[in-house]
Amino acid sequence: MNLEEFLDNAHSLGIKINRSAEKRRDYIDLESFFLYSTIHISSSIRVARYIEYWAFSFGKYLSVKRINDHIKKGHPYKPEFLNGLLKIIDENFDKSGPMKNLFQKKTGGTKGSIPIVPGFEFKKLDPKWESVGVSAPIFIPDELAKTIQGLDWISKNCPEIYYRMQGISPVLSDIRAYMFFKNKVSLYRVAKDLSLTYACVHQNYKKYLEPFGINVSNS
Amino acid sequence: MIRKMLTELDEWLVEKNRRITLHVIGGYALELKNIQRGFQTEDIDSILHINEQDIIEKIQSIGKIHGNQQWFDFGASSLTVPSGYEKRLEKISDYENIDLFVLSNSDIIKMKVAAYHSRRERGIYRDLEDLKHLSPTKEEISEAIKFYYEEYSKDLTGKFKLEFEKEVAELKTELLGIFK
Repeated sequence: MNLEEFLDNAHSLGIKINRSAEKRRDYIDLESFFLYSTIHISSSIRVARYIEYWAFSFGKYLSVKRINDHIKKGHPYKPEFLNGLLKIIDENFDKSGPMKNLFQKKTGGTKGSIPIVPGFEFKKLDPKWESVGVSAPIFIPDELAKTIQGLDWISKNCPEIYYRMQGISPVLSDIRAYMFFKNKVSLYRVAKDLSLTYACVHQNYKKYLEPFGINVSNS
Repeated sequence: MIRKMLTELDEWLVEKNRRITLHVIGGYALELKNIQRGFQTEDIDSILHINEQDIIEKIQSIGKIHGNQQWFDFGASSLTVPSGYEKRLEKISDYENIDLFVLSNSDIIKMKVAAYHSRRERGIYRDLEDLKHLSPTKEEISEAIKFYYEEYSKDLTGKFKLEFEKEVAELKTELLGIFK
């Protein structure tokens, strides 16, 4: 995923960045987006900060299992930046929480710290980033409203996050969000696109969606 | 998106036979000057206030339609703008009933240097990033430092003024090291 596509997704997932063309969007995999954010975080200071704000705001809704599954399947990511973002998520929520399980032990073995964005030296370093071998400016999330969309916007435009915010399990939340964007899609297609087993999708569908009139195609 | 929103505002102003003037500072000024920053800003900071209620309401309704209610910053006039900036404004002629002006590069550099120094303590480095996109010369940096010191040390006395002077000297060394 290139930077432009990533920024389009970032906009769709609640980051307040201006995109020139309004495109009809598709379902976005939150955990894949999060892993790609570790790649694109170095593209600019602003992008880095936006990603920090996103992790700070919505990181708690990410599924540890799905992130792990992606990593096992070879999804691209940068371990040192993943660790830093996990620290931001954990600090805001639960210091002993499940995010700890995602910490990457090997972070390249570089001597000293690497800058979050090349070509910058920072006066006051953020201790969370420093602890994972990255030099980054101190992160004080006091521009949240300027950076991240509010609940009203999320509820109308971002089912991927909104369903998770409601406490729905990541699997069911993803199925519902996926079906929000797809009209009459088969359960096989849902399972394939969400990297879930058919049995899992079928069970969730029969139990939680079909009784409420949410239909799929038979093909 | 902002361009589209401004176009909508312009069309409404034409229809109502009204006219506004904007003096744009901040990130959008860079975009209007076609300075590539890797991404686009979401709001317009204008120095001039708009006092007509119906125009303010129209601006707000356009923001609501596009899901960006903070697209227009009416409070940007509280920022310290280099004196005599009006004479150096550059006209952008994309709109019929919006007289759109942007600050000159040298004035933007002055404001960005001031913003960088006052915001970096809070970990905000986007102003330095914008400065890099503006590629200022040594002379422009020196002028900006002079502006910053003179404007922001006015109310300082005694040791506070001396401390500020030292900080500004360090800032100058740092920036001249970056923009060689």
